[in-house]
Amino acid sequence: MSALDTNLKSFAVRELKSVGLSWATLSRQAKQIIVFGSHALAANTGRSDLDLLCIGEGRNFKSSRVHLIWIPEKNLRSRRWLGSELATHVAMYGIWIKGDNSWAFQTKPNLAALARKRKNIIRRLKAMDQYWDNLLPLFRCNQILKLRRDLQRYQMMQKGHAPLPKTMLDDEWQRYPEARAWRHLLEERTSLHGNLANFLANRRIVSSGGSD
Amino acid sequence: MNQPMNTRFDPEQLQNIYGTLDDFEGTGPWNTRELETAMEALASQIYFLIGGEEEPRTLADAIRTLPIEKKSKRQLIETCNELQEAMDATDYDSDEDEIEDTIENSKNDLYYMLLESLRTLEKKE
Repeated sequence: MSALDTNLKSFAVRELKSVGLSWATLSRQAKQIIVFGSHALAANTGRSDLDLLCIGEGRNFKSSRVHLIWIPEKNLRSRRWLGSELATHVAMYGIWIKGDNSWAFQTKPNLAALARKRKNIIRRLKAMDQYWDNLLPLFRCNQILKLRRDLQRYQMMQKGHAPLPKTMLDDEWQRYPEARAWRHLLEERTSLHGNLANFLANRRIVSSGGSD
Repeated sequence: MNQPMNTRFDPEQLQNIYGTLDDFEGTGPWNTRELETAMEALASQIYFLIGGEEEPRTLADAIRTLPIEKKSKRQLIETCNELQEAMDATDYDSDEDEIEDTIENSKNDLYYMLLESLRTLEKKE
């Protein structure tokens, strides 16, 4: 383990303790523990949580500081899992702080992962359209943010790349003036559906008039 | 009770919540994006109905403001959290059938408990 990885492990131990979890217990339960997301890429901000993928049997946990995801060991042989959004991200950017990488070598998301992402984007779009008038401004903003990040990830996945964490997607978004314009456009309720449908059609996520 | 039952609720707002609740109940467990958005719509509508100093960030936050019995409130919040946890898991877990069962059960529990709480509130007015 490099000095950087050792630092990351020490940080993980502290963060786990801060939310009432013990590294010793986690380490006993998990055969491998992998840091992924913004901390793995040193792209974390003060508000970033620590994402940990644990291989073994355990219960998922999510707080503002730590996000634990458990994947059973049997899944490591599944083609569906290996080509998934998370597995390819971990293969590309993950840092092992317990155990060694014995499975994560595929960095290109598979067709099932792409289809799933596309479906989820369209489902969110439909849901936004259905519930928009009943959403508080905070929820509207969150929905638009999630939609935009999903679209960014989808585009990366289409190009055969593993998706990046949200802090990096947000940085990329801020670089382009037209992207900001797109966000403003989306905040206009009246133009939400039509314009977004065109947007998606132009990027070949859906054809004009296409559906889920 | 956490607060006195002296508030008159806007009947139109209540009907809106019942409508969203029905849509929520009718959404399939695989459509987590719609379930998530429906829960945010319910949180918003409860805020429009009850008011309060702070806008809710989740449905569980909105339920905390409902003038209902503590026990019912606690159960509702627990169910909300269970449902959210199961929905989050669909983004990375490949064992979809098992998760969808969990989502369906939590969703139905939340639907019936919230419906009952709202009807009780309506009757007590």
